[in-house]
Amino acid sequence: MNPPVLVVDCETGEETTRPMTDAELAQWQADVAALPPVLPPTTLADQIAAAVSAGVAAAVPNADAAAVTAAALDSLTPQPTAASAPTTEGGTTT
Amino acid sequence: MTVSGPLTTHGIPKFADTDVPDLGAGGVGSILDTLDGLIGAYKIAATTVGVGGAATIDFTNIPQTFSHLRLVALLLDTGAVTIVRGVVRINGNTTNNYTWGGIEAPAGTPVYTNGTTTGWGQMAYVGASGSYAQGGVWDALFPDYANALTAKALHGVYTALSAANSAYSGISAGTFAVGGAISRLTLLPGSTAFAQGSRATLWGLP
Repeated sequence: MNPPVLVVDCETGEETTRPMTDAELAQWQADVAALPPVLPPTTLADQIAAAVSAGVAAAVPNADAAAVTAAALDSLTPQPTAASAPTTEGGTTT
Repeated sequence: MTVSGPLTTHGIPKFADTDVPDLGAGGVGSILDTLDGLIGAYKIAATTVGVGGAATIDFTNIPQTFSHLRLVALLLDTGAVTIVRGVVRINGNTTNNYTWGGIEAPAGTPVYTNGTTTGWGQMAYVGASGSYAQGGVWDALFPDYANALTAKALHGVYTALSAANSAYSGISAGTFAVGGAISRLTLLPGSTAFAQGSRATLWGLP
């Protein structure tokens, strides 16, 4: 049996549920197949990395693209901050 | 269930504002205009999907009495997957007369457009698993829907309710490039069917 359609007649207030016709079913299946998927969330870092990779791939010869991409992404990665050397003020180490 | 009942037996509240003095932006006139819009809203129809679900929700014979239409819906999908798309079709038109674009955050393509026209318009989320906690909420406006001469605009805001999908929200706008009043709105889910408990309300705005 074809899936049900809920029809609300706004003029009479009447509600009916009826099976889809075969033509409606074919259209509905085509609609469902054509709808874009919901994409999973991505982080801003993911989006930047993808943009860098795409940009490098377009601008750099194939043999060098991987290395350039790696270097570019590495430069975008936050580097750990070097620990500050203890300072001595007035005989007190801070 | 239709809450408001047939229009033929109900007076449609209309609050003309011609007697409201225009006191300028922010003045009493503006406030009354705002209240006028709220008070004059009329619930054309409200429906809840029952046992067995519904592949589509179809509002037909929409009266042409109002200035604008507003659709507010809580949409659940029977599929057990994550949230899916929901869209609307106008007057049963299945040809490529719809364009749309929007902003979603923070999905993979935050700014999107359909690029080419499609056989449906607008975008929304439909929650998964038939669970209220997974619901998708959609608030759509169809300005000047009864104008028979021009293309129609579709404006919408949509979001997913669940904590897991709280990142999903968006704004969508587009057009339906066919003249003629809107007399039918069909809601389509992007997966299997609308689950029991999905509900949609159609408002007429003065």
